[in-house]
Amino acid sequence: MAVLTPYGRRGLIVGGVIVFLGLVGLLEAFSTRSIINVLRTAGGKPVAVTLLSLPELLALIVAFVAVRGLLPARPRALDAFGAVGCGAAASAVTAAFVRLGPALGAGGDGFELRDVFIHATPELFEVLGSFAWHLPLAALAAVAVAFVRPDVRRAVTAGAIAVALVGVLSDHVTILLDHNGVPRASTAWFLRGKSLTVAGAATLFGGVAALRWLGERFRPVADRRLAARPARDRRWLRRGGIALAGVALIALPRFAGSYHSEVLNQVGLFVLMGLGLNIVVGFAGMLDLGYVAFFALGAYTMGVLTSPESFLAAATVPGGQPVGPVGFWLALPVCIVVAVIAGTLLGVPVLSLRGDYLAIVTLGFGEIIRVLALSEWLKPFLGGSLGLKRIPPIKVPWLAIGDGCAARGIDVPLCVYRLAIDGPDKPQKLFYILLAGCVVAAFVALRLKDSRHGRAWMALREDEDVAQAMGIDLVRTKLMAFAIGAAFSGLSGAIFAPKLVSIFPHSFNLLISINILALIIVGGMGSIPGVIVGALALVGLPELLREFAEYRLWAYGIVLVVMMLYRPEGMIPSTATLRELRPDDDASPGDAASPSPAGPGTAVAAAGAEARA
Amino acid sequence: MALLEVHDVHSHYGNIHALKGVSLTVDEGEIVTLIGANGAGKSTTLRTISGLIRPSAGSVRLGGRDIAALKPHAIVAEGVVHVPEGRGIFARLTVDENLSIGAFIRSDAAGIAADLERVFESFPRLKERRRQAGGTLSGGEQQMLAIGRGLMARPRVLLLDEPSMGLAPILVEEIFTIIRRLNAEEGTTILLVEQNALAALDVAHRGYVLETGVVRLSGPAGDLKRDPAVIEAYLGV
Ligand SMILES: Nc1ncnc2c1ncn2[C@@H]1O[C@H](COP(=O)(O)OP(=O)(O)O)[C@@H](O)[C@H]1O
Ligand SMILES: [Mg+2]
Repeated sequence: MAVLTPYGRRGLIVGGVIVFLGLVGLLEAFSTRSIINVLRTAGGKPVAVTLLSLPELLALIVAFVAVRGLLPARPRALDAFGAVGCGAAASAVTAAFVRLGPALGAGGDGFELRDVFIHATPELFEVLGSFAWHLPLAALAAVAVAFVRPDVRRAVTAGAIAVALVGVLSDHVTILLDHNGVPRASTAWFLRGKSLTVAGAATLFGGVAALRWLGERFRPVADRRLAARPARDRRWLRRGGIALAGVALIALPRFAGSYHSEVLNQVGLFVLMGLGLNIVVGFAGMLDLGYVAFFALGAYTMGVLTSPESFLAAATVPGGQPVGPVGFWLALPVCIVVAVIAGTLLGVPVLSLRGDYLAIVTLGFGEIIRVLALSEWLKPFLGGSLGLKRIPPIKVPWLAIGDGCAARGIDVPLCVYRLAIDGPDKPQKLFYILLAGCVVAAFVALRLKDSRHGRAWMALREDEDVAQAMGIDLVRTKLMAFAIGAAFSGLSGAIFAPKLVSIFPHSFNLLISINILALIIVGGMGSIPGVIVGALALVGLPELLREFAEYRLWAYGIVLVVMMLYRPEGMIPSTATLRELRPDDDASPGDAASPSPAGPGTAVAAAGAEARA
Repeated sequence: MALLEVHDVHSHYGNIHALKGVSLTVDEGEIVTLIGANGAGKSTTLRTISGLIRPSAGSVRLGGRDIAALKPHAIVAEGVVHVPEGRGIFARLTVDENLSIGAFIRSDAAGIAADLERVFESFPRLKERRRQAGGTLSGGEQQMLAIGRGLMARPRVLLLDEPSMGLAPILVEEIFTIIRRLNAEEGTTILLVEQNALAALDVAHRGYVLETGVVRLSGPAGDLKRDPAVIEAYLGV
């Protein structure tokens, strides 16, 4: 019987967590998101009825992860019993809450549950009331998964993540399909209303699971075949892959449409900053919490130089000539140089600081820049709390070629006119600029990682004293990391300013620094693909889940804690981190780091499931 | 003129006066050992030579040039390489990466590749574990890696701080054999700090005995081994 106690206790916790998710309003906010629905006839008319909603999925994930964490590697009958009990206990907690909750305050004694928890609405009790069978089922699933072969388990996990992701984002899938002129009738079997159909979910699950399984099965064979080919062939194959990816990226905004291009641009800004901070934190191991400062400097420099309203535009040179605003392309290098100088200047006083002390000083630096931008003192130059306005959009000469030719009725080559998107400042155009910036930044970061400097940073991160004893110049190495990191952030800021047209000090708060740090940790410290995946998960996904905005930071906290517990190396770990955290894994890093396009919510499930694998 | 000349060096840790006028010399091609009890200031002497601590007085000369004012990385560039106490292996990096960081100051790719082969010849066990993380090596292997990493800088003087620390007797013997061979076959000049005085005096040409920051005795290793004071303090059972 003692074996069962932990299961019961865990069940109560799971129930409590779910009630808590409800009381903070998360479940209700998500209750309109349906993942799978079915058609029922009501009153002679077919209506779509939700089979699985997002709140239910969240509850399933919580219960699944909790039970999976308790189960031994080889569960016995008693464990299965305990697991179901765990689910039942959790159900009992939610049921009790649904029963007792509305009664609280109904007694007329002046106490109202809603006075404390404004989200304790009748709708919440309705949502929570639907959980009766989900939790024991999730617990049973956790038991079942323990008996499945690891390769099948990974395939099933991948399928489940795909269904969850597409189901949750099905409204966006619909928008994208509409944008690309796909008739709704042809996808009705797959998507109905704002959710997947049962057939759609089954197909998606089966397809992705099968692909994952086949991929894992035949990957070694393919790798071996490939390794047997001459190096020249392999090189061409890689170039072909890069070219294909390039074409796909160039075509992307056309298919994404303007709203989703905007989301991609937001991700792009954070990828740029993430790549830069990754050099400082991931490569060189210096915890910088004031990274937003360089972003702000880039943006403000761009604003001051290009806005017709800035003090610079009104100023005159000694000869009496007005200075006037300059164009984006002329201002861009200045922004980067300003950021680099600031990065170096910040680097000098913190050279001898390590760890926590460094974090605190950089934190202060980030705030100083924001407060300066806000100050009365610099108001004539930076606009104080009103910020800088009328920053002109970026003009890219060659991206307009298609427009020009089309206007004159000239037939232009496919590639050029596909790039051309009407209007001067559409997000689709900005995408190309951010893409170019990210490609350059990723290339630079990649080359630096394998260079002498990369090795110096690596040594510095591991042990400063020994690095010094190896002949590494601490001053130069550290300043270099700060300067290059700042350059990427300055570039990001320089693109951010014209994107927003107006910039205000409050856009550059501590949360941005934390956001970037979080995406690096989630993606995998020191890993360049990790930055991209982290940005997609922590910036892109919340952007798509609008009702989520309020809970964003809250979810970050949970994601970070869960990541640290179950997958501390991140989603796509760098090899060095992997060596430290999974020293006895024989699997190659590529294997262990199967990149899955998982978002915060689903990452929890994936991390939990794979940590037990 | 001696290759390395430490003259009347004083070093402090805050208020602690750790070295009170230490002088010693190391000639080209020699193994010189610095022995002494725990806390005598042996590691401090090495740290002062390699620039990790700035001496408050005295001079450190390499080939006649004063290096006491140089930064640690510049001193490495001058040819003084310090293999620190406790080895200082980069635990998360592979054997290969550790060794390549050892050659950080050099840019002659061909020379580095040749030296890598030489290190692997001296330490065949490292070659078998090239792609293994440094932290997963055994104590003896880590010491070999630390020495190999030091050699990758092609030092004029190699400073070894207690290479036998924490090793099983059989490994201690192996490490000392390697030290002797590095000196005899490759002509590497070595300043060896040891608590294991007997083994150190066996491989060294000359020795210094340090006591609370002061050199008490010095002379050829054979003489020190027979010195009654040394026998009583460091070699006795
Ligand atoms: N980082 C330090 N801070 C303060 N005192 C130190 C430090 N390192 C060593 N000391 C002191 O300096 C003296 C010499 O130490 P050390 O050179 O490490 O001795 P040894 O290597 O001979 O054992 C000791 O008294 C020790 O306590
Ligand atoms: Mg010592």
